[in-house]
Amino acid sequence: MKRGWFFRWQLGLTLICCVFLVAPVIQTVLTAFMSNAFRGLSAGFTLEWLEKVLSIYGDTIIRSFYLALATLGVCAVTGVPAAYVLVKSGKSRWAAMIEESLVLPLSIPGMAIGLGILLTWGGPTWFRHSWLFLLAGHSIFCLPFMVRAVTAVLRIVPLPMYEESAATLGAGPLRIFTQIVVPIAGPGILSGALQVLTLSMGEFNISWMLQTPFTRTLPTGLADSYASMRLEIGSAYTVVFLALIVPVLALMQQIPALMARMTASGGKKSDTLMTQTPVVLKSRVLLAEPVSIRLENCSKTFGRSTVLQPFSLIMPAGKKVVLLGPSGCGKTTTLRLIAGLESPDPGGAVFLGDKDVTGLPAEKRNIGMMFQQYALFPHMNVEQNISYGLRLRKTPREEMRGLVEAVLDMVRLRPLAKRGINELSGGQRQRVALARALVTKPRVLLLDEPLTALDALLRVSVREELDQLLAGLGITSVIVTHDQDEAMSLGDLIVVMRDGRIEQIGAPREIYHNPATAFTAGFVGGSNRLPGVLEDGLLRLPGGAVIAASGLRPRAADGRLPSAGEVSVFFRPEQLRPAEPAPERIRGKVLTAHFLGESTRLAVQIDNDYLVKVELPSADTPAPGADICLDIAPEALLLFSAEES
Amino acid sequence: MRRKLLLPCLLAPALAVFVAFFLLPVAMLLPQSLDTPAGWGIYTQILSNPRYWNSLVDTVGLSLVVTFAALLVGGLAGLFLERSSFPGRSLLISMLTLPLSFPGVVVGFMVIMLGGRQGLVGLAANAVFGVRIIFAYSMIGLFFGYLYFSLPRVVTTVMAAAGKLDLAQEEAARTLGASPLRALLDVTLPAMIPALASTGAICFATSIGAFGTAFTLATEINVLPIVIYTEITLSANIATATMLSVVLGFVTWLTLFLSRLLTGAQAAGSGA
Repeated sequence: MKRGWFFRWQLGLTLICCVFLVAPVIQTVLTAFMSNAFRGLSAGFTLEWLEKVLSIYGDTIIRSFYLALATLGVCAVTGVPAAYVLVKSGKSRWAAMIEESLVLPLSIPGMAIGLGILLTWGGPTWFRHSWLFLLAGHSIFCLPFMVRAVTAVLRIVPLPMYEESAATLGAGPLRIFTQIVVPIAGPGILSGALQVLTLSMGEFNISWMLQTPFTRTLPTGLADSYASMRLEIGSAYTVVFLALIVPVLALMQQIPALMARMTASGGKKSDTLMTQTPVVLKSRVLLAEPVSIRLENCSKTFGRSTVLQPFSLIMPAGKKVVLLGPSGCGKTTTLRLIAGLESPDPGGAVFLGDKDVTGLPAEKRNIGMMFQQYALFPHMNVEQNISYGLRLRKTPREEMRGLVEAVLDMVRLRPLAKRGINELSGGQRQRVALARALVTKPRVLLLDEPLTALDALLRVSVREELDQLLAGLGITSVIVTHDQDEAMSLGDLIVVMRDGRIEQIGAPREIYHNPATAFTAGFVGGSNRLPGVLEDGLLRLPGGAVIAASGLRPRAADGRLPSAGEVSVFFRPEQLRPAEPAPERIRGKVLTAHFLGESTRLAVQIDNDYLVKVELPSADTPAPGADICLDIAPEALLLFSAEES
Repeated sequence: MRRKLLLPCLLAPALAVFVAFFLLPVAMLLPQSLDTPAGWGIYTQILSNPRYWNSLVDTVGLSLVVTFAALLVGGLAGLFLERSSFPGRSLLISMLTLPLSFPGVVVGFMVIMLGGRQGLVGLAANAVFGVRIIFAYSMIGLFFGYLYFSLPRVVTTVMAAAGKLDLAQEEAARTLGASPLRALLDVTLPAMIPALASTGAICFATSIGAFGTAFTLATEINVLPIVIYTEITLSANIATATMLSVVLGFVTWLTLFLSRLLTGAQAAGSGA
């Protein structure tokens, strides 16, 4: 890089700033230890001034030290819970108001606050004369820093996710606060604590107002020593102060590293596919008898928006049920209703087996839930994460060790038991999350997008493992996904959802071959869709094709064809074949051809307005630009009336 | 229900401390300041008193000058440190941020070390030119004191803000034909305005209420905190002191409030 006058000029300015800031500090340190400040270094060094300071001002130093610790105590006990409440209350107006006012002491000069405290509480009481009076002033001055530091951390971490995962493992609200929130807020609490210590030790404005001759603190002592005009004493005293706060400042440098640890994903290792040897997972984990899940007349409204229309659904015991649909269809809300993380609108009920659990909070339902981003606790290692649910249930130590080892073996993570979460790859994290959800022998297992957070390459192999594992365990599991391949391969039963409604329930084959609605037909399988007109026993399609209605397949739902008029026609890319022109065939022009290996995928333009995907064996495929005529068996066409779709 | 009660219970301790030692005391200030025969008239009466009025003007004026000086010097230094790499850079950064945690009284002492009777500047000037320079106990000393605690704040804020800037924007300006200085003025500076405004407001507010520094340096200079101090200690004039505190508190709060309104950033002072 070329460094011209601009660089040199800026460097010079910066150096002047540094000299301005640091030279007096050095001068102070030298003066504190020099025998004679006038004669300079030649006179030699001494500890005399330091000893004098300790004998004259020793009490202020000790008092300030203890006062700072006491202030820290008050700020931690009051500030950390307050910060949690503020973060949890989110955007509500009163929370914003409280937060605003809690930092208000920062905007009012200490003198004014000190004077106010003096006017309010300054009567001739024991309180006025004790150091507690100073503690009150210091606490109000330092509290905002603690609250701000803690809220800052709690706002970056995905707090609701951790809370919910702790709840599904069996932790009540108070335990969630003490065992999950406080440790996760750790770096924020530490940063706040260090700020409180330095601020309290250096606080002058309020202290000066509130002190009595018997409760003088370090900064007021400092001011006193400066006023005495004896540079040596003032310098030595300043050096004592610096010695007190420098370790605190050094600790502060460590905070960014701690923050990185807590905000997870940092340093996530990538998976090597080599380690993913497909092993049939035999489980030594004995689960409780599987139970069915029953949702009765459940609906869910958030404010004015209805996320779930009233519906009832039975998920048979021991089956793998997939909730499939595009985002916003209500599938995750349904899962959360089962978990107890949301409750249905009045009138709805959730049953696990025969037991009505509608009123039970998540931590009392004994379910296992795996979250989309896994929600592994960053302050616990693999083993501690897995055993957390067992510890909440007060499982005896020996039994706990056996169970944890069994699930670790099951997911092949035994060697990594002591690893931190940040030292795991995405695939390993997924398996830890699964182990944690299963170790408590839950009655049902809930999986929210279990594979979405994984790399595309890994997804297929993990899918197979998961399928084998769940089938082997025989546990009732509910899997939420937006991926139809995942749904097809994992589900015994698929529930297709859309806009808060159930579109269709059925086995994968049934859903694929006999979609009940136009939506399902379009969502499941790479479908083509063309508008058609059904009249006089004929189906007319774009591209000039005219097909006799008698050969068409009736709908599964009612065994009939849609009534005459405009219809939507669905068919699959692999069901089209090139053929000689004939009246019942679709004519078009090849737009693009993508070679996929075994097969080639064509995009065929019909009537200028429509695109149809065609999948052909790669042997003889027409080139882009060629005219093509496509044949399709009438029974492969699925018809829905136009308004239905 | 237990669940519903938990959150208020967790908030209660902080609220109790806050109400008892902040809300109530601050609420006491206003009625106390009106506790004279003049009532509200005391505000016009006192502000028309040349001594108090001049002190207010001096305090605000000095704080404004310090703020702009700190923004200019600290802004350039912060931008430079964030943008360039050279040996000793991290040493410079830690030197520039060291005084962040110095209380006001210590800052005052640092200025005495620089410009007092045995100050470094005086010694150097004496050695080179043979003149003694003492500026610590004057308005100039106060200026350097306020600059001393403002500079590190500006430098750290500017470095953080500059670190988030997209360097490509400035490079785009260069490819379009702007000189480095022009690109700085046209592209970087506008992007930095929120950070500069919020840190400037903090420096201003801190300077206005900087009792510790003023107390160490300048018991004869009429900046507002010192006037309040003399009203209390020398004349035991609590009503006037309270009234001046209300004015002081209002000006700082207003500054920070306006800066937050304008920038949406978290701006708050800390006593110096």
